[in-house]
Amino acid sequence: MRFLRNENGHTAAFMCISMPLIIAVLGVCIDGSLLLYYKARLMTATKLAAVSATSFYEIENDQLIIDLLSAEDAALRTLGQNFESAVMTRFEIDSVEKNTCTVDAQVEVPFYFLRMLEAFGSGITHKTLMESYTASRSIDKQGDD
Amino acid sequence: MRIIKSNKGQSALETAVILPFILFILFAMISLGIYIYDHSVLLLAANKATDTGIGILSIDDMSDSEKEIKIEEAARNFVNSGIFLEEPDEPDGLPELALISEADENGERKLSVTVIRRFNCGLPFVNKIFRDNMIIKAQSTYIFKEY
Repeated sequence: MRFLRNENGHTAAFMCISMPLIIAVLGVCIDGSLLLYYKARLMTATKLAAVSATSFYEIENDQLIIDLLSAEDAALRTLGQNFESAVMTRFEIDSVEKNTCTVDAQVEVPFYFLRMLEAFGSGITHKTLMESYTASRSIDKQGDD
Repeated sequence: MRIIKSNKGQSALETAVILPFILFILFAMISLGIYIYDHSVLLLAANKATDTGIGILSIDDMSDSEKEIKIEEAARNFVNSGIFLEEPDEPDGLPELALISEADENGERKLSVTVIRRFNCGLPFVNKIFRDNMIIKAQSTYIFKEY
């Protein structure tokens, strides 16, 4: 009974109990902002890859046709240079509008703090982000979508 | 002996032991948050500058160096609106902000935008200690073919 009433070291005990909570809050803050950073980076890399691909074209019968091989290669290289860990999952030129292409990419975001919660059965080790961008180019003006 | 056995002020002592740890976690959290934010600002600045570049690359009556200046301006304006970053300041010996490469044998060219800043974590003592090593960098590349 005396042991239960003893208040010695209660701050340390309180800290030990609240540590998982502190790590969880820290995890949500840091890993959450990291997730947003990866998302922004993947978005810009995918966009640039798609726009870059549209600049590799041929003109046939006054129609701009994106060259599949060189455009795909350019998209892959642009994506790699803007975001090394991103993977291009799809490159497609529209079958009707041949001046339009779509690039899909994804990246795996590793979590550093949230994985610590695995010991409590609720940890998350990573999340896969996906992004898609469609760009087109016309003959009249050199602008991009 | 009475001083050692006395329980008075033990809570204050425990707090004194724990407080540095709590403060360390707090400051680390704030600094990391600002670091990721600054990285995002630089990333968006590089992207904004590349967008500007894509828009002006096809203008014929403008030289490459004039285009590069415009692109750099776009990046600088964007970065300066970021709240935690300091004034533009390029460390010596690092690459230029915007660079349009010459066409290779296939007519392929590359626009590279690099934005470099010293990191300001908002904590003066941390800034003082790590000032020279805290550099953040974002790069954006656009490969295009010129016809």
